[in-house]
Amino acid sequence: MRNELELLELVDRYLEGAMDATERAAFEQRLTTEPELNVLLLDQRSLREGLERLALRPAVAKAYQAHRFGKWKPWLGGASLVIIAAAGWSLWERMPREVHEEPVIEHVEPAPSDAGSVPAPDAGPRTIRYEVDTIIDTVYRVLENGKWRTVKERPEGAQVMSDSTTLSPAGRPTTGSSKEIGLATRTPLPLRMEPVETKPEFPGGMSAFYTYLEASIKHPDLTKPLSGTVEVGFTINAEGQVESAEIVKGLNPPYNAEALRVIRSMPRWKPAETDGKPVPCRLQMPMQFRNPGVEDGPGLK
Amino acid sequence: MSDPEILEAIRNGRDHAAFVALYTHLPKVAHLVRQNSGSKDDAKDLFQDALVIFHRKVRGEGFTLTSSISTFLFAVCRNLWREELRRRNRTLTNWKLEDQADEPADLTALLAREGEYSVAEKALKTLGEKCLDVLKRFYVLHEPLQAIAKTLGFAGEGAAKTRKYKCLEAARRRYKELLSADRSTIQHA
Repeated sequence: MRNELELLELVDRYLEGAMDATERAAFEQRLTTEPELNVLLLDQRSLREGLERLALRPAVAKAYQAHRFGKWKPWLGGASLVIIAAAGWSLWERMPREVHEEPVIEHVEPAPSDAGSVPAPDAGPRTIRYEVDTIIDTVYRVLENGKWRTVKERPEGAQVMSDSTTLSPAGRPTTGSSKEIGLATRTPLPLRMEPVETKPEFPGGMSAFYTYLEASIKHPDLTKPLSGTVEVGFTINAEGQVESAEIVKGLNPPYNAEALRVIRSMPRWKPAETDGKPVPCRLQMPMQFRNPGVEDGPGLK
Repeated sequence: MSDPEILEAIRNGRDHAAFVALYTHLPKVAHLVRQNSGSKDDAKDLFQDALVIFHRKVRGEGFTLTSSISTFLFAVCRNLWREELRRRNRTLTNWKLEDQADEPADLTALLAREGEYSVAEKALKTLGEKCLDVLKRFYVLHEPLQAIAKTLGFAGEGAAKTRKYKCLEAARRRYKELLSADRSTIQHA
């Protein structure tokens, strides 16, 4: 097998043009006398090209969805829009660069209505297909003057906690005492987005968005604190402003109100784009509230 | 988007915008396919193959386009569909000889190459997820073996290399099988 492995490496080098003139000439000389090597070369080239073809499939399938969506929109005129997830579930879509393609969560949004007015008769519910954008980032938590702060670099002497330790956006450690000086987390942040060509962007990027949430959320001052998740849905309109923020999954009224307040007071985003034009984009963000010693309670709406 | 804008988009990696614009040529192809014993889904699959071929051609070495994009896509589809019908033992009824006049001269060679690569693509699709992952990272994303080993949890560079080798060999075996099956159904040069 050793020998075959080396042969394969050799063919790879040849196909990549990584050989110098002498090596190349020698290899081409071998090709004329070794038909087996010739076959190996052709097969390996086909497989490499096949891989390139396979890698294009997700983009082709995704564009088909967009094409269909664009075609139906005009005559449905804002009535119910249902996107059929026809794209084959492929491995490529789970690659880091394509992570947002993975799970599809559908959420039926109530018919749009202007505040106080009667909804238009043809305005039915709208189904939004979400793609999950999981930002995995390693951040460190530092306790300073009784306050937790998030930093990108590992602080000197920081005690590294397990990967699974959940970091609370509210800035309170999930585990441990206030004696800890550092806490490393590999934090998945599932932000669900409506599929768009260019994603909307928080000023400074996703980690800045995360830092913003952490810094802004204040735990409601309750005699009996809760732990749990509040999921907020909101739209970043074509101007980059937050619109129609609402609770998708609530915990209890004070927590819900706090989550909404933080989302509504966000700075302007860079709006999503399709074909170079800014377009609105619907997002959903789960926000975790953790209080030490309090188990996740049932979500009280 | 105009033709030059589409080419520009593909060159700059704005694949989504380019593909969406290219789908405007789908109805013409769908018409051809449906007139010739194919379904709407056949038309979609066929057209998507043509999009992949077109994209690769644009990104390939020494790319030139002698016709409009529409003509090119249509010519590719017509040829691929004729091939498919031959496979299904039917012929293309509405295919006219004069249509060939506007076909790029090197189309036959291009389609023969892509035909082999599409068999390789089919073979690769039968591999396990992890295998495909290793191969894609190495050959498409050009990630170094060390990084691949780290991301996918292999013991080290050597282990990743061995894995890559085994996966490529498995794909190659499958490719050979598919190729011989393919050749026994199509009796032509």
